[in-house]
Amino acid sequence: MTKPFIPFFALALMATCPARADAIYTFTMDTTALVGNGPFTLDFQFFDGSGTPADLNNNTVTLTNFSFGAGSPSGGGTATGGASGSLSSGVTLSDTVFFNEYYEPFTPGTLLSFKIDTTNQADPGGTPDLFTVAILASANNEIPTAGPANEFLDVSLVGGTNPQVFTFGSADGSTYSLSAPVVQAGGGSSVPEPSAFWMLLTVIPALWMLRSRARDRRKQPE
Amino acid sequence: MRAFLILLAAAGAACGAQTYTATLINTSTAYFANIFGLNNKGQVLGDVCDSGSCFGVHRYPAIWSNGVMTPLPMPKGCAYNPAIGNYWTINDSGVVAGWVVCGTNKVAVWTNGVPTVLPDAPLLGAGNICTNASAYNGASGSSIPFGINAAGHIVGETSYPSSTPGGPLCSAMWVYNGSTFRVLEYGPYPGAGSLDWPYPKWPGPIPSGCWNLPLGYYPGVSSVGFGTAINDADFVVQTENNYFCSTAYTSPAVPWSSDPFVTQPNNSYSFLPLGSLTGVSASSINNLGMVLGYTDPTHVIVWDMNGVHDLGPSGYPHLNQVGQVIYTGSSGISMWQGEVSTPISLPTGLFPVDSSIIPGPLNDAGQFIVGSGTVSYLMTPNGPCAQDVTSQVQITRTGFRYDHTKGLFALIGSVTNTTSSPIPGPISLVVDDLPASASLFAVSGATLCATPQGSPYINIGGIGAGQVLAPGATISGSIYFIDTAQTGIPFSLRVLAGPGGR
Repeated sequence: MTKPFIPFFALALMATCPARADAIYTFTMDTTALVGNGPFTLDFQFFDGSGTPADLNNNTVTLTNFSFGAGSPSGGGTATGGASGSLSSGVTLSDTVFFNEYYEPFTPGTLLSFKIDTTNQADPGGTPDLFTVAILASANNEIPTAGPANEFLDVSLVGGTNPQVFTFGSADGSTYSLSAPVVQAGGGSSVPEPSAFWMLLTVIPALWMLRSRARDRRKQPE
Repeated sequence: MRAFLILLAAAGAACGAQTYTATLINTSTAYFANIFGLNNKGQVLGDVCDSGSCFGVHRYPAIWSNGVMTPLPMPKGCAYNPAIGNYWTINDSGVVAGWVVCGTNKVAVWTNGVPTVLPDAPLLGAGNICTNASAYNGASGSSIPFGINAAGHIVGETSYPSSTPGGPLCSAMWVYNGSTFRVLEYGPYPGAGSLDWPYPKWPGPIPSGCWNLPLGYYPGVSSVGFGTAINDADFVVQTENNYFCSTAYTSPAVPWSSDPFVTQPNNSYSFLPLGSLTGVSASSINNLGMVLGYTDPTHVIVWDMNGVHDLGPSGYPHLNQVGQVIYTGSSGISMWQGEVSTPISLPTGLFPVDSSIIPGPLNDAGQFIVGSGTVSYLMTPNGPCAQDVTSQVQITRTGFRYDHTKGLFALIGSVTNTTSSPIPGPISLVVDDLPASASLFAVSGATLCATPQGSPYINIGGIGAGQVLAPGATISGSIYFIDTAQTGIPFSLRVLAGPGGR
């Protein structure tokens, strides 16, 4: 008689779902309307929920794989708070203080894209950490958007399965007519955290062994 | 797509004149000789006399609150200077900045009633604005405050006298943020870097409409006027007195032309448009950037986003963060808001007939002071209170973002009616428990009916009186904060709705 091991391991496998895993997105935005104009600056902000000690230091957003179409980063970025990096090497923003920001001038091409990898821990203070993307035009003012504070993207780290993501196009009547960016979950799935990964390494061989034992039993004569 | 702009509700459609409850703020043993400030918690700061005498120890600064007069203790070795003027101020945390005499004039700050004397602004010596330090030879400075903001930042002025009679004087206005002084006066005049007497308090380019001055400065020709004010964003309004501006101005009270200018924390500045006026002195600035001033013969002048407004023959103005101005005009005491003046009806019998009644400070809850002689009242708007509907809505916080265009911190979020009944407007989002370092921008008022009192609120969704937030409907958008320290903005929220006081 076979013991019911398989259902148990199936449950264990389901438990490895990435409840506290990073969320990965690909940000893509048609920037054709900006070509030949400028200068422009990409503005990434990452706010802690409240700036109080209980809320700080629990989330990080990493931006990589920047592509500007025929454009390019201009260098000379400015990082404040828990921000570091560059558009060339990648940007990391952590909620080490209330206001964390990285901005760097760029020459727009027809398409702007980059990868967003963020943790998603809810702040106990009740206001989520928020990652936003905006484009600054002349005088370091944002290109007006339909967003609540002239941003094109909000990623609100509310905890749970996924952050809340909102995208916005440029505001009606704006000098530059830009559609809202397309933000797709990267690769279609989240990357499990290391603990879940090690659990999978344990479970998969066990399942393979069970399958082998069952096959061996079937081969035995009655 | 979410609709994202939170619109201020239309000005409340008054269904009749606002009425007030008068509370006598004299006590059985003391009365106010002068009133300096009124904060959103209803605390009144003033210059108080004992009922039997108004000299020596019988005159002192005090805070009146809920019927209790609490004298402010003098710092050790210091005495009270009962000067009339804007040298004593109180913020919404109850922190007081005042002028005391400790050998020379000093700025004292009372926090929870305990005084601390500030050092004089360091203006002397290498690296400071008065390089000729030997001229002062260790002279003690003289400092006075002009204003304090919500975060406790103080604007004031310090002067160092010469160690020799008739020698140079060093003087400058400054903003003190609790640890450092930011000197306000500077400019591209010959000899910049030294404000030794005769000090050229010239802040920069000559205001538009003025004659061009040749190179060089002109002692006594122009100077920054006495007095200044600060808002929660650390913007400071000062007044440039300039004999060369515009046409000759011959009023006996203001023998020169004058023009207010606003200095930002980065020391950039801009002059306010005078329009057809020839000279105006500024007295206060609020978080909206509105500036209150006066000209002579006495007219109250207000600058807002629509330009400069002359309220006609008028005086005793006071400005709050809502954008209301209380003043005395041809119709008696009136409230100016949105370019409309509305006479205020005081309860009868407060003062003897034909008394000269003067309005005093005005807070964001609509409370204000009126006085005549030695009698003063705190006037409180009365009527029904709005309903607390916090349990009937879902408040969603998305998070903060710094809006570079506005120079403000935006809290993004939404409010949804989760009931099956409409919620009557206006819908007011109340921000409780804000730290002193942060201020809500563009407030609609401060709470008075519903505890905790003194919390700022903002009307959201453009839902006015007579309109409703339908069942299931959502108001999305952002409200804005000033946070000069950028240390964080913890808070709690509640929602009040419907007609009535907040």
